[in-house]
Amino acid sequence: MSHENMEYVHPLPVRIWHWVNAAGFVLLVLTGFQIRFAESLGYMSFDSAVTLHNWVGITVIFDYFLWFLYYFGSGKIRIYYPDLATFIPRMIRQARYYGYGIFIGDENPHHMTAENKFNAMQQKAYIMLMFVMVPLQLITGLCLWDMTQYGDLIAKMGGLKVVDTIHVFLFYFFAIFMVVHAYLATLGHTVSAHFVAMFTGWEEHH
Amino acid sequence: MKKKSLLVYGLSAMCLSFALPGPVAAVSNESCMECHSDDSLERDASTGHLASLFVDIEKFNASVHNFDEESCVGCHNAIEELDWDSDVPHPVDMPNPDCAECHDETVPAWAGSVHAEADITCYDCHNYHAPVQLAGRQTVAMMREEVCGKCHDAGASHDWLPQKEVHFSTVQCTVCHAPEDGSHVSFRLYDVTENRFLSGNEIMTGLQISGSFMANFDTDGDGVISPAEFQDFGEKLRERRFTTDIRAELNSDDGPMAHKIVAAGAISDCEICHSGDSALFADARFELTSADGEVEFAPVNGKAAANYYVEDFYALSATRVTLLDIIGALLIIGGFGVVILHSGAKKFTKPLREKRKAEQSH
Repeated sequence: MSHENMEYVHPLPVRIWHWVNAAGFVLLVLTGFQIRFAESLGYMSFDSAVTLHNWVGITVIFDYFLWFLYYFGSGKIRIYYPDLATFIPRMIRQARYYGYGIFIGDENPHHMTAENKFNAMQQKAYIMLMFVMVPLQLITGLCLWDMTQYGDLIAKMGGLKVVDTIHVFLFYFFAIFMVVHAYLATLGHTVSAHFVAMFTGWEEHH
Repeated sequence: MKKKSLLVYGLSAMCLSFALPGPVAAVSNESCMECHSDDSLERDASTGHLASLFVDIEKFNASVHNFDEESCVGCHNAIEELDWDSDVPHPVDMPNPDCAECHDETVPAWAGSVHAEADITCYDCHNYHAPVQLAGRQTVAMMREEVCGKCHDAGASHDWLPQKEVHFSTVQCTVCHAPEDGSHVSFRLYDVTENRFLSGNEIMTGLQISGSFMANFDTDGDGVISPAEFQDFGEKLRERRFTTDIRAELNSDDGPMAHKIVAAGAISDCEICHSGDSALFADARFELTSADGEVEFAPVNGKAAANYYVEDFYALSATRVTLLDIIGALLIIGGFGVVILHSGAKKFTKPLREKRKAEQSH
């Protein structure tokens, strides 16, 4: 495989984290819907759905630590930090591209490199996702997994209903996030380009 | 003269008959307690009967039988009169009281239970002389410890049940183990600063309202507190600065069939409870206890269990918050909408891009 015009953007630990997380989230969403709407859906029994949801949840928690250790350990976590001086104009430019420029054939204002992997909109989304939403989902999931052991934490967060509400709201958010995320991933120079890159690690420059 | 004497004797005999202890009604609890208040009073246990003959009258007075004005001889009805000249003033070898004489639906239900098979009788759970009505008096956890816990260590079994401690603390044993009895969600106010449940009187006084609970909160007068009316009640609590939680538990209806305790036929299918249309959560009751121990149950629609004022009660699927699902549905519809519109616009504008590309390549 020639690596001319190619850049190694997604290191192996990131790819492992990403795909374990992706498969995990798909299973969590499927089992989550079965748990929440047991009387309407019947693709698995309630107890199988709960058991699978718990095991996959634990896997995703460990996977998050893989992401955390890799990015902080390597210092690459900087790619998530927006440059505050240019962040707002870059974001407007990126939004304008997705809302208008992409239709008339403008070039994507962001050029992905290993050091500057995310565009401004991705930075904003991913910093919220990885620092707030995913940890909150993992913590609330852990609380619901063993309400006796995490009873004090549940009380501190405002009670079982508050914990469940956070978990379910984020569940809906992640369910649709994956759809939008997968759609946005088709907007590369070809439909499959970013998907292939997420397996090989190499992104092609255009 | 003879006629007059007969009349006098006859009247005297009538008067005497009222003065002497009559057959049953005249055997008062006080006369029984002349002997049975002695805590050393015993009999030969080899008869197969309980050895101690002591009766704690204070416990009896607090029992549901006393509230229902039942007397000692109401149950021990083989005693028709007391013969104070005898060593023991009543027959010594009497049959055990037959609970079925009054509890004519409960005892047949018990007869089909695993308890009947094991020869566990009414007294083993309900005590000999202090049967209490369990509903509305205690928490699920207390009932488990004080009633079922006399014989059963629930924690030692139930390993198949996820989060068994959570189930034990919120679901009455009989909900699963007496499935032919109905069930309901019971709401009570728990004072978090004093660690106790509030009585009905304390609730009404604290809310600064007069009249019955239903008259105040069943605003549409349909005889059931709807989820919206329950929300009004929660807001009223907040308005009056109650430092209470609305505690909810899943309780048996404690009808006769609550005594048909089963082991093998107990509910073990999760979806009987954990389902949006579970019958177990269809009804709820707000419990208002009075000082004398009586309980008034205000009927509530089971959907009220999803209310946010009931902070620590949540059964997966069964008591889900509908508003949250509406928000979730809007998020999902919105997300798909963006994807469909954006991809549609891309398809629609494809000629534009192709035209521009052609111009650039020239």
